[in-house]
Amino acid sequence: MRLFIIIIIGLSSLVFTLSKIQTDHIFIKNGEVKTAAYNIDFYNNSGKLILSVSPLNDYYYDGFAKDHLLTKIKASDKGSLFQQISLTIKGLLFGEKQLIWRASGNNSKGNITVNYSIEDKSDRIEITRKVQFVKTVATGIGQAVIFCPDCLISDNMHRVYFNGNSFNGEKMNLALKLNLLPFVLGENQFFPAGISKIIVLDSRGKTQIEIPVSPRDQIFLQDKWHLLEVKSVIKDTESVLKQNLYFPS
Amino acid sequence: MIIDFFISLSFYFVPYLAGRFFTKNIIQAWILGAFTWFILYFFTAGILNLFGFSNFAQVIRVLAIGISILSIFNIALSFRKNKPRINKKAILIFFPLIAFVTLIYFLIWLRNTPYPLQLSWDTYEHITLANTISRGKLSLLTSQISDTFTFNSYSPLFQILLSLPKIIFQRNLLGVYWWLQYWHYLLTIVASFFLAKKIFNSNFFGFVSAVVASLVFESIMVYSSLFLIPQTLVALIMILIYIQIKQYRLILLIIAAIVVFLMHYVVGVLCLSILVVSFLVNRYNPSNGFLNKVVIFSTLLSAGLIGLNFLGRWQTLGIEEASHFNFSLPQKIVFLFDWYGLTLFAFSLIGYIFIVIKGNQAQKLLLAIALLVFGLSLAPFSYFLKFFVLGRYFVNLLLVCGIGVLLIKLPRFFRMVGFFWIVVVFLITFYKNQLVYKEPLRFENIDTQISKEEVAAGEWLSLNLSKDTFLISDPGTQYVLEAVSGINTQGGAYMNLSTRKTLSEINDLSNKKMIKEKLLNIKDQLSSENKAKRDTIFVIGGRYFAWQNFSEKEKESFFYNVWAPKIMTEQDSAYVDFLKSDQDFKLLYKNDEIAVFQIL
Repeated sequence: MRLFIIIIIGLSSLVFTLSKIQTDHIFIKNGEVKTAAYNIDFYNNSGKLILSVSPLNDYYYDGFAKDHLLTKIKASDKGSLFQQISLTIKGLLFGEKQLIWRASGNNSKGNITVNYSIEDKSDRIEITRKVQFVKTVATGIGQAVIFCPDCLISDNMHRVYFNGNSFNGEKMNLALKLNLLPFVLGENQFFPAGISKIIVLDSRGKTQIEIPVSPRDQIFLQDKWHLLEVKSVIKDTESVLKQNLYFPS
Repeated sequence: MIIDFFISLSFYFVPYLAGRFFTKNIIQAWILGAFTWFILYFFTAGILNLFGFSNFAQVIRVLAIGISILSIFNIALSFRKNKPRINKKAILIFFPLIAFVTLIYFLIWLRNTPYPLQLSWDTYEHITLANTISRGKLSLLTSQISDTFTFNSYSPLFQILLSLPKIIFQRNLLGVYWWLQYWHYLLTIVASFFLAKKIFNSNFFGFVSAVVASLVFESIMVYSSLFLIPQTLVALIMILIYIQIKQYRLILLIIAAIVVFLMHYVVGVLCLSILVVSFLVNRYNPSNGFLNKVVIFSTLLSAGLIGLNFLGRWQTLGIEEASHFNFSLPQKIVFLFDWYGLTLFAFSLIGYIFIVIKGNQAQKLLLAIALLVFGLSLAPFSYFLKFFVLGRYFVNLLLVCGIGVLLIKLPRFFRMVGFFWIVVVFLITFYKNQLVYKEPLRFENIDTQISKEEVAAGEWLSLNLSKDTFLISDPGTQYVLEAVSGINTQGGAYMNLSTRKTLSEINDLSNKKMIKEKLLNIKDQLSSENKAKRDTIFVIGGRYFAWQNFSEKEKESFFYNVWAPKIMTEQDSAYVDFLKSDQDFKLLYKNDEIAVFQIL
């Protein structure tokens, strides 16, 4: 009986230890990723918030109709108990770094569950969005990131993007100072073809993060919300979308 | 590495050898020796000052070597008279204990931290102070010795003892400290073993206590076992006195009390209070009924102290940093879960019930102390969690009692199964806890707060520049470089607000003349170090640029630092080239992480 008590207390303690804390943040090579109640935040190695990801910012496309993926989050967690223990054990034994964040809620079309998985792939961070639609099927998902307020969006062709309503002489001068070509777009106008990656720069022109994009993706910018959207077409009721982020080495 | 292994032992042996003239008891001799060296340092500095001599280190060196040789001769004579016997039973007990502790320390804790890299941020300020003391600069106030110390929470006793290896062997203290932390860890576990053995009169309880002590790491603010700093050393000394308190004459106890107080004023006062209570209990032998009342009182008081959290939180010191070290009750409970898992609350409750019902005088005293210090540690005042540095010894014993009473009466086989299960549970808890602590310190596959390149830069500075040079960098860089190189900075990591603002301002400047002008206006807070004619060097590197990326509020705070080394990016290197192109900035040294400029 006494040995049984010891074993039960020890076992409970281990389950508790392995299932807690670590799963709300991971340290990556050049920064840290943290989950919060409504979003996942990416910090660089100086502790500066570079990007945020949330289903409240992601978009849902049904033909030409567009809505946020979730307009209301009813519940969010960091994975099931089994997933948390499994993540901790994988981290302890194999040094794997993964974060799970699940959110369920709804938009105008019905209930939707989104599972985010953030994985450190040594040379990059992979964000996987697994979207489950309860009633309707979307035709496309806009994977949105909120970038740092003092940052700029550039691409691999040395262009820097602004929306027409926010473009002014100051931004023009900044673009010229950084030796980049200013490119002005409307909020519903997608980026020109031929781009292979989007680069988030700070106001001094320092690369904060790079996001590779495929030629099929449509990219939108909403400067006033610091929102960058990469729209991808989907087909099934359950869709898995992957997005890679590269921090500068 | 091997040389520093032996040199590190002098931190313990040199005071012991000085105290050995007065007593044969090892702990008492060390305490008396520490006190002797504290007096000798001030006496020597005073005399040399009086006669205008400046060869402080040489005099201390001669004294240390002389006293040590005489004492060793004295010990040898004493051994010839009373031939000491080897205690085989003690070897059988301590061999597995030391082997276990050593494996945990080097295979888990220091697995990715090669010599002489460090995992304790406080290490550098103590090395800096010891370096300054070894040059003969002494004061009772640490803030008067180096402006890295903005607050006098202890006398320079710890750093005086740390300066002894530096003075005697003329070595950089970083590698010595790497070994010292191991000795401290080992001693902490040995002390925990003896404390449990004394209270429960059982080697088995001692082993359980040693396992718990070695695998519980208080990874924030407390750091009892794995970091050697004044607060952890004073707690260890107090426990070693507590174990042998019956062997202390009043005069010895008074000197021990002075040493405890000088080692750390705040934790020292708590230690002294417990020692006084323990001394009185031993002297007046109170009845069981009285001790039961003390236990009830302690339980209520502890609950009251913890209950204060529901009324608010109070800042005990008027410094900005204090607000960051005033944790809420849920935060503190999460810390305890990180350190112990669920074992603390489950086994301690069993231990509590056992001691209340069946405990003897020593166990009830232990329970009362554990409850009071636990309550105090969780009270809603800034820095109070530090009291757990002492509390852990008593609280752990309560937990050990819970485990022990469940296992002790089992048949040998089942007892061993239970014991190994406990080892596994604590091992996994510790493994995860230390991994979480070290994760932000991961740099190039090494866990460290200082990189090899920074050590190399510090050693280069130490060899090639005068000690009168003045070093300017971000708080983190100058903090670690000051410790390694011995070159003075403005405040190290505790850089004052004016310097922080100046550094922040130069980040936006592209005019090199203005950068130079602003840098040269940075002054040390201590006037004696504020020499007009001295070289000023400006060190920039990965940490510097990371710090410059902080928000203004973070840059102005002591609390935010770039804790781990950083590599310079291409853009950082472009700034190095930008400064290099000016004749006022002469590049003296550069590696992948650091560039050192002399401001001409």
